[in-house]
Amino acid sequence: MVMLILAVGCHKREAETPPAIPSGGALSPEVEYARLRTELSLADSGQPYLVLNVPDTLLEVRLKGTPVWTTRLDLIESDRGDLDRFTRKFTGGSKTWVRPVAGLHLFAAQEKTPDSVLAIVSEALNVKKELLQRDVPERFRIYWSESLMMDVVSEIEGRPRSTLANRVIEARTALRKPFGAARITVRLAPDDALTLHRLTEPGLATLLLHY
Amino acid sequence: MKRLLWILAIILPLALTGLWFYGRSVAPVIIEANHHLASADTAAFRLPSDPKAAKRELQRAQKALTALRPKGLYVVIDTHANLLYLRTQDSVLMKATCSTGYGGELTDSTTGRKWIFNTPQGVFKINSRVENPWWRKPDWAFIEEGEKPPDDPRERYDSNMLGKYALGFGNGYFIHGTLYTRLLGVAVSHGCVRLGNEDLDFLFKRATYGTPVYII
Repeated sequence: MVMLILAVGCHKREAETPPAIPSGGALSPEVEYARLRTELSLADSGQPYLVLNVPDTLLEVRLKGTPVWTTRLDLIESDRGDLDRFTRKFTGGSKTWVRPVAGLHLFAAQEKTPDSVLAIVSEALNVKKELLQRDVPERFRIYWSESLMMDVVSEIEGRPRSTLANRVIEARTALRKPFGAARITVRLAPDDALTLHRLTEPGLATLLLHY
Repeated sequence: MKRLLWILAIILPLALTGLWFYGRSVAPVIIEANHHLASADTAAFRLPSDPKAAKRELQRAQKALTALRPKGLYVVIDTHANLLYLRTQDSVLMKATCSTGYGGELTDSTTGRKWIFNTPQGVFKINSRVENPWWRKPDWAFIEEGEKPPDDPRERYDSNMLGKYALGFGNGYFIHGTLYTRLLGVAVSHGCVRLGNEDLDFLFKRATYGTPVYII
């Protein structure tokens, strides 16, 4: 039974593999035009959007078509095959260039400002410390539809938000993998991880550039 | 042994069901791909069938996107990490720690007026450049201290608060210096963007009238 389920899962994954974009090649004018128009629509919205810029190995946030936050797409724990699988699944045979973020999970984080400093400031401003504090993530995960995931890790040691919740989510991910889940893991500097984590919320448009 | 198997047969499904419900409660909410652009695909944006018209249309789209991007320097303020960048499309000239709005609220109990101390997000332009700026304290600065805003405008001016320079980007918001340099990196301002002296010097020399300011 298990073998049958696995076989169906693998078959489904194979069937989803689109042949439309040759890796390393240029886009056809039709696809390039669709991508440009998609980005123009995102720029028109006036909202920031996330760009997974695979050809330039960059992770960007753009606002009105302009890069406002740029960092290297530094992949770890995954090889080129994971990225290829992720991009194929994301673009669905060059039909979709943009997907909204579907969810976010923070595994572990460190508080940015010492409590002793915030205690003084919060008293002076008469505001709660929590309002001024920022979580610097050690690890968080961004979800898109169809089991697409990107883990972001940074080189700090954080405190788990909930060990049980983290384990349950890991177990769910492991169970989904045979059924076509695609995950990449990127390493960011702590400041960048903080920005990306705070900026990312369900609905944030994500544009994939993939040649 | 048989009894143990019976117990397992009862407990195991219960435990798995409990775990499944717990998993649903902790898992991130997966929203449907209902963003209006999620369906943007090659079918939604079709090139004309005539090759010449298609080429023109493609070039037009490329130009439209390029035209949105600043040709020279621009400022980016990252309110999440409290960082300010002076950059071009391809490189970053300066990355500085700043302080942005803390997001708190203040209500004037006598008049009911309300202020929210956020740094606005979006695209702006430098529209004023002032050396040795004086701060004209708004009403909230007095109300926050439990004082009544003065009738005499001269009592509103403070020559020390804003540092050596102020760069305005609209609606009374400025990038300026600060006395509280130890708090740079913490979101403690009332909406303006505070910078350290050296970084402010560097920025003021390069950011001219019309320099775009992107705030995320």
